[in-house]
Amino acid sequence: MLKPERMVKVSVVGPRDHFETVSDILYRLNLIHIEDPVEDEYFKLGEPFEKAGILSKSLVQLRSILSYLKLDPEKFVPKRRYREEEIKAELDRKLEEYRTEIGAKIDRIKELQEKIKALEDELKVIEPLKALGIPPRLLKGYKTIRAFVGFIRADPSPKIQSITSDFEVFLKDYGKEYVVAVFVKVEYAEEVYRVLQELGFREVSVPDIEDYDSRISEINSEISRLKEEIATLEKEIEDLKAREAELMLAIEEYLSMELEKSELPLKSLVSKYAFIIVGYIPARKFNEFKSAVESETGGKVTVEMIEDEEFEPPTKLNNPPGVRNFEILTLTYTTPKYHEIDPTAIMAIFFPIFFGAMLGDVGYGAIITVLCLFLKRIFKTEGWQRLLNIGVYAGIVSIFFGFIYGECFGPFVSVEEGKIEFFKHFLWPILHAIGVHKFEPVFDRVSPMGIKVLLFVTIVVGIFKILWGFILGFYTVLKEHGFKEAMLEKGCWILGVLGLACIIFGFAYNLGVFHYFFGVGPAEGSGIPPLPLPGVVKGWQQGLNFFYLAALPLILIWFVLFVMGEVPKMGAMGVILAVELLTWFGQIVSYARILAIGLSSVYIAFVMNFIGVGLIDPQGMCIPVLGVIVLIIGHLINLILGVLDPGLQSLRLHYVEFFTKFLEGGGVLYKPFGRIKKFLE
Amino acid sequence: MAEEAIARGLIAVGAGLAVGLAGIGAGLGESGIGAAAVGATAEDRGFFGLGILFTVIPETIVIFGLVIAFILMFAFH
Amino acid sequence: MLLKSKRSSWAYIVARVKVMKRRLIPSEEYRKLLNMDFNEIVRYLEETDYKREIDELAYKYSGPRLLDYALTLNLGRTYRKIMDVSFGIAKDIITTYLKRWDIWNIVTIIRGKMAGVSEEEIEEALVPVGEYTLDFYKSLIPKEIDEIVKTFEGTPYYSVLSKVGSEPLSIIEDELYKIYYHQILKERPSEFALKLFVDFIKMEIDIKNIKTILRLKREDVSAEEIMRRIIPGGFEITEEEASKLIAMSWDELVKALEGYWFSKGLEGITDKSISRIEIKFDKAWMEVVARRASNYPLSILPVLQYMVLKKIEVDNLRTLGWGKWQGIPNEEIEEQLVIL
Repeated sequence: MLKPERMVKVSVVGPRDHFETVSDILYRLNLIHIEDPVEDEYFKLGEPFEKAGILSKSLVQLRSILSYLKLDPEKFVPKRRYREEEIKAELDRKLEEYRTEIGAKIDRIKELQEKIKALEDELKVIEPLKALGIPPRLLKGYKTIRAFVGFIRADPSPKIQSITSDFEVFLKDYGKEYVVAVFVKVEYAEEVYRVLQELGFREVSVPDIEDYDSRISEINSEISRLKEEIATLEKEIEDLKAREAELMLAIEEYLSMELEKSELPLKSLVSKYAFIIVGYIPARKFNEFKSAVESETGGKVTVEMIEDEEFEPPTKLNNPPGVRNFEILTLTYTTPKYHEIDPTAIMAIFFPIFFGAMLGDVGYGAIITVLCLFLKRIFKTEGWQRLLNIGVYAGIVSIFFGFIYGECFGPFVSVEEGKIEFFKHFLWPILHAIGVHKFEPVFDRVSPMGIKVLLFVTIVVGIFKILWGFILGFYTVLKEHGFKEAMLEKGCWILGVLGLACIIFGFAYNLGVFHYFFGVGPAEGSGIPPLPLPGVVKGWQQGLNFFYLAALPLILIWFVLFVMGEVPKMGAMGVILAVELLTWFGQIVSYARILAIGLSSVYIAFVMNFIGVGLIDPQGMCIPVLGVIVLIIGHLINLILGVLDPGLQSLRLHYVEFFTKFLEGGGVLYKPFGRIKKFLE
Repeated sequence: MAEEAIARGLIAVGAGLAVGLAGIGAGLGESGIGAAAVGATAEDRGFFGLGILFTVIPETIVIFGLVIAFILMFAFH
Repeated sequence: MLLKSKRSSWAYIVARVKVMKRRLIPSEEYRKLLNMDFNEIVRYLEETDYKREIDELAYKYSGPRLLDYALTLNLGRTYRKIMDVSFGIAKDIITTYLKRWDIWNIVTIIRGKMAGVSEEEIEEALVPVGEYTLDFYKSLIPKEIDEIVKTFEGTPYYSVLSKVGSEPLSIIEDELYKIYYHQILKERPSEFALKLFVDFIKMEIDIKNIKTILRLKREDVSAEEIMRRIIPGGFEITEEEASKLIAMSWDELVKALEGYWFSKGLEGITDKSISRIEIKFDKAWMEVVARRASNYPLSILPVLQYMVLKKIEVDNLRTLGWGKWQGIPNEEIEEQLVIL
């Protein structure tokens, strides 16, 4: 937890005649993350093994067929698995079969589709001509007359009139345009053509047919015949797919594996006689790895650990099972570098808490939990499973907060015996029936005092999280660059934020927040100025409290450290960057969204209940159907918002306000050479 | 008495303006980011998370507005 | 006024194109590709952006025809997609830019007809992203050459196309491109977005012109003949400048080039191979384009940059594939690639 798995850098060196064996072994072990090598004078990038070419060719053809059949190895769940020997024995025969059987059928289908398209195009010509009502033989084949047949935007007669009076125009409305046939003497053809073009004339070539209707029915019957043939072919392919899907995918997996093995040289360096592979493996697997490779090659190939200046291992996140679900959230932001802290575990705690604190509703929480549990049975891929697990956790925490806030599809109402508030919660009758007559939430976030308290609490959480972020950052820099760097880069901000925190506390102290919580300090409305600005606020001395006094030295030390750190880097103007302290102030206040988002959701629910219950109320409007619809739709919308907004905002509080303090990211995920088989045993 | 009522009214108006104007500002900020996020997501589903995230970043301004509104309502009544 | 901001429309298309750009094959990968054989290259592409096209075709085609067809199809679809998803002024600019492919298609058809290439293969080489549709080109292919030319009656290309048969096709192609560039340059851009586009085109003309000058100088073509091939309206190499450059001797010419915006690509211009010099110019050009695109991130430039990069990638892959197919040594293939 908090740190990626420890890695060691290893080299695998051996004679070239063992290269293929080593490739097999490494692939089977599925441990080494190979680093892309840099060529030098003697060692060059290797060329793939001989078989790669033919494997590639088969693979490309097979994948083409798979994609036509819409068989996706990622999504398909196999019912049975094959042994490698089975595949090897049948490979060539099956590939040939797929090529001839399926390939030829696909080809035939495409050919038929082309034919259908051509016929449909012909229909598109014939139908307007039919609408025009002139038989085809009269539309062409003249010697001294030119016939223009096609579509046009407007009647061309007036314009042709100006060229010659010896013409004939037939015009028929056809959709947005007209179908037109113009007959003129050949000598005027060119001029007329120009006129026609001005009106957007598109010529169609008149087909060599006798009669429109018979041709149309001929085409239609031909199209349906072709469609039938396509349907039969598709049925055949579908049958084959049902029968062979697992085998095809198993072959694809087998070929891919063989190919990946034979392309190992592209990731290694070779000289005339030797090969070198450099990569990283988890430290605890080193001995197992070394002995496996060395014993299986009879000691011809050696595995060594390298102590290298360039030590940039891939990141293999290392979290316990429950926490692991949250890795997708971390990875969406960035992949932590090997040396950095992996904040997944922290996020696993705070993400659901923030989410719950915002949504905080028994009803919505329960729906989310049940929905996620249900969806988990439908979406089986790993990514979905993890995301839905997070949903379940967040839902459960929301239920918990729902009890604290006393909300279930909106706020509970405190009900005194005998006196029912105008706005009734729809759970109220049930509670009333079982004898609960008076209930109040543990903490009411809607009341004015509740808002103040929650505002204060969220800001305290903000201060705490931002300090924590800087402390983690301090630790990371300390590990890599030593104390001085860490102090100047992160430590000074810890002091600065502490100073800010003191100012915020001082402000709150004077407002009476501490009186409310701990019974110390001035009470609310004591008239003490909250912000003791000398010269600006009258009677500022009164407002000067312990916190303000503590803030002063903290801010001073921060400023000195900041100047020491920044000025050598940025020059004298670097001092201006000190305004960044205000950014942290903004980020602290930003945590107030935990309150704000929650409240907005509460008020939407409140309004929906208000309207809905008012509609249902027998003494009110008494339109129960409409009331129920309002309630359902209203709460559905609020639920969608209630998932999206708290989810995103909680995520954002981590990404923007927390991660930025210590996580640079841009690491590479651990991806060992090998694969977990899915269709093969 | 009347003065106090006017003052209360003005505070409420101020609180409303704080939230409202902040909202307009955030909306303007989000429009460009949102367009870019939609573009990136259309090309690669993997950007969905980050895209939405970037889109809501200017929302902090609204939170500021809201906090100011709260302070106005509670600290200055 | 504030709400009418154009930023978001640029943000959309630029973000989209930037994601697409990330999917281009990184330059380091070419080292690996060079070590593969032809079939492996096709398979490698099947695992990248070209997956859809290769999957669609591989059950039927194989060899260079598969590669060529898949690359062309992918290029066309990519351009078409960019055009379809953009709107407003971005769409106008992209549509105008892509009209160059009309010329490519017309010339390809005529050239194919002259060489007696099969109709199918001509069709496979078309990139129908310009003004005319694929169906239109398909209707052209079965026709005779003079009929094809006749269909363009009334378009700006007609006067040049009518010379088919009496002039070499390469000259006609050049002339057609001149018309294309003229169409873009004739309008005075009032908006800044358009001006960026026009400048981009002018720079492209510069690169084309300078390549023409160098290549023809090498071949000792007469000054007049070179001048005929110059495209007017360059960014720095206007017709006037060009005529000065043409009059110089080779050494003077090389020296004079140092003052231009693309001068960064000129080290080692003494190189004997003209194709290597051309690649240097392409690289220099792309560097400038990249710089300008990052200076104006919310403009048409990142989109144009991607479109050119995509074209370069497709050309590279074609060179690579054909080279491998014909068994040309790696070093020679590598020299022909524009690896940025």
